[in-house]
Amino acid sequence: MYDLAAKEIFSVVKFREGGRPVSVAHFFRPLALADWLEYERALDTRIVESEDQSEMRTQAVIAAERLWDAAALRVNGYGAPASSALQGELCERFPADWKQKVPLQHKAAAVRGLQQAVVSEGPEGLLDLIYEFDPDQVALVIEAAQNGEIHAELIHHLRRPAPEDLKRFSQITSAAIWLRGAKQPTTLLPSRLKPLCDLYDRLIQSIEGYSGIDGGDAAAVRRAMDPVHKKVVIQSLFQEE
Amino acid sequence: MPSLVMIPNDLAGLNDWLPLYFSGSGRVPHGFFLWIQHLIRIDQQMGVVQLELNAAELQGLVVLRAAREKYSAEHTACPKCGAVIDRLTAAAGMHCRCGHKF
Repeated sequence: MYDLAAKEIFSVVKFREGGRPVSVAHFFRPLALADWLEYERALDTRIVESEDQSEMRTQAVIAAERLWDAAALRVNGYGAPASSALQGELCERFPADWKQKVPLQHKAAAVRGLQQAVVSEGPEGLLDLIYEFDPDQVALVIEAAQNGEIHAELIHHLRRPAPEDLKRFSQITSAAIWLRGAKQPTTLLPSRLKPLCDLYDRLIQSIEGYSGIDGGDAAAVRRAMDPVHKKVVIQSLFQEE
Repeated sequence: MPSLVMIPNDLAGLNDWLPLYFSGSGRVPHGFFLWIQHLIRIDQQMGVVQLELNAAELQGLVVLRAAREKYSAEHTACPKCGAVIDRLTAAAGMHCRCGHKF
């Protein structure tokens, strides 16, 4: 079960250093909507166009570092070199400034790990199955990583969207700001996280595969659900429509 | 100095980019492209269901429809290949890219 009430979460970062494979863990406090909103604000996503191409630019590393610095609790796996006078984990050796010593690339990879949630593609040969159509409801399955584990059967039962909901999604995904007078045509894309979460809250009825929810009703799900999961579910729901 | 404009509020900008969107002859800035697609989607939906529109959508739809009518009035299709040609070219008896003479 994916625990929505976990007191801390960790992200496993794997890389190679000096030719050797290394695996470390970064521990975080639970992340709230406000954390992700701040992250997306810091991303500063913009599309810059020239005559023959358009380029999406984000401040992904800066945004990741801010989120990491705000929410990281400790890291595991950063042992001391044998020659060092100080021994123990990084946080023990440098209690005052251990956060500054974690490489930026590791922070960015850990934050990417916190966002691992995708729509489940289902088993092979799904086309052979009967389409179980409920005129009032639609079920979406996502898979997400938490604390080094992949949870593959996270089911969201949503009210089948009405035309107004479809319009709202279109409205959200078309919101943009024009940088008038810029040297190159530039569009700023504001964060869509909050309105997408609101749309999820409007449609969600129940979930399966999660633990740590106080009560099983829709209101409890709205309060407890991970904002990243809400976003993935809503994007998938309407892009398939 | 560059300034920030919410695209739904930039009716003049919308009016400027719509001909390019209809003709497909150049790159419409991403933000306007998204907004035009939204307007076209709700225009299509409104033929089938009732939707509540906000002020920007209402004004945007008026601009969209006017620009579409103007574009239709100024262009025609080549009877041989279907390519869209402006009516002045057709009226001048020029050739389409497919070789058809108007």
